[in-house]
Amino acid sequence: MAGPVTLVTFVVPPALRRCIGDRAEVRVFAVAPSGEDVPTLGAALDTLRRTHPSLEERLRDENGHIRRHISMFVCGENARTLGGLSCGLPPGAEVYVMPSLV
Amino acid sequence: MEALLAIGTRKGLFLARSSGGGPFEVDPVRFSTIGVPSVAIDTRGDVPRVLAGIEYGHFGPSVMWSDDLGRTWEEAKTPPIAFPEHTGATLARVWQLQPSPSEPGVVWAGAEPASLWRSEDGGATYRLVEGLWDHPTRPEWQPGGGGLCLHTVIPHASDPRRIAVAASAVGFFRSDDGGASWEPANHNIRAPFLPEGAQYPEFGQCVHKVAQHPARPERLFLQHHFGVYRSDDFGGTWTDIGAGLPSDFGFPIAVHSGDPDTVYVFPLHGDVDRTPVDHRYNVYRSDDAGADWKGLSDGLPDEPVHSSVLRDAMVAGDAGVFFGTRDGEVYGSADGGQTWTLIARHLPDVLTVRAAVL
Repeated sequence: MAGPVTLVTFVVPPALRRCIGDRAEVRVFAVAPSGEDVPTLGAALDTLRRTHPSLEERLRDENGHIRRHISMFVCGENARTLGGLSCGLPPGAEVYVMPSLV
Repeated sequence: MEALLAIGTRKGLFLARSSGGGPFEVDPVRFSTIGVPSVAIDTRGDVPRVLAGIEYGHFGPSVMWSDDLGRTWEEAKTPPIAFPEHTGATLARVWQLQPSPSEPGVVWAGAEPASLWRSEDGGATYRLVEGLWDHPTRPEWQPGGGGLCLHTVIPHASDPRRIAVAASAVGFFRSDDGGASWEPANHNIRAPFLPEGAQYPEFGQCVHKVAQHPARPERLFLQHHFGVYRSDDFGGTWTDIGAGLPSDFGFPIAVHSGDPDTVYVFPLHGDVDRTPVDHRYNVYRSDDAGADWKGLSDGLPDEPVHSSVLRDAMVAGDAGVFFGTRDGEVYGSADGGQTWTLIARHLPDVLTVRAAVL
């Protein structure tokens, strides 16, 4: 049985907004795998792959890894320092997508 | 005659059109911040389709298409080229898009890491050709300077079971069962960068580009990392035809669609000095399948140049002969290369050029 669910807001940089109808944000549900777990960034991205595949493919490669030059900040912290895809998401989490500067 | 010229650059796609044999007018840039390493103009359908392999910076590569000559673009809802999970590979770049001459709706793609892909929906989505990916030599394939790229796809003009590819620095491979099984076909191609006694490897060849004429599909021309070759048996054996050139090092090679004996190359000094011979743009053409060569530079700059032409940045066909340079100039010729006209300049470095009569 699926675990807790939270609504996650991805805040998308201008270069990717055309993937979501020129909006700046997209909201998806992240579902924890069981009642013992919390929803994770990976779960949110899995949902995004179903609901907004043209955005998700820009953020992760076909193996599900976050692309090298993409960072995601969860509630102000870089998710890479919080476990990456396994980073837990609090209720109503905002995920800021940040491409590296070039 | 309505002609379309597609110029893929490191930062954007430029489409240019010519009417009634007049000059090419370049449209505003598309994908202005995005690399376009591959492009195809598919004229098989009711309307021409422009396909573009894009390199979307941090956000990964993809394939897009336009059915209205570049005004609007579409992209598959799911990643059009994605390695199956069991491969563990990640797509780095789409190097080649090639509509099939014998199968409606089929488009082939060559990619990095070296892999061949087949689309059956007009180039929207692709599946990996596992027969080549699983080739027993693949673990030994090594990248060239441009990466481990499959940059050339040559479907046989009339027989859909036969197809060939070239990858760097892997070599020329061919299949006669629609891509299920493959064999390297590099007989008599010399790899001078390898030690004496090991210069004719079965694979591990740095083939830069291969071209085929549709009316004579068994005939292929090949530009190697030193060496220009011709095959008259779809790669069964290769003959060196580079003796009459000032240098047999270069990247592009193109066959004129109007004549299977007319072939073009762009000689560079060599692999260390990748600049045009004598620092002048000079396209070399043979009208007898490589026996004799003639330099064609009328209309090209008469001052020193230091840029080069990449492997996909020259094309010859009914719409004309065209090449683009790494410093963003594009030249065209309406008389087979006898005289050249500047079509565009100050573009980003040109990665690919394709042209078609609409």
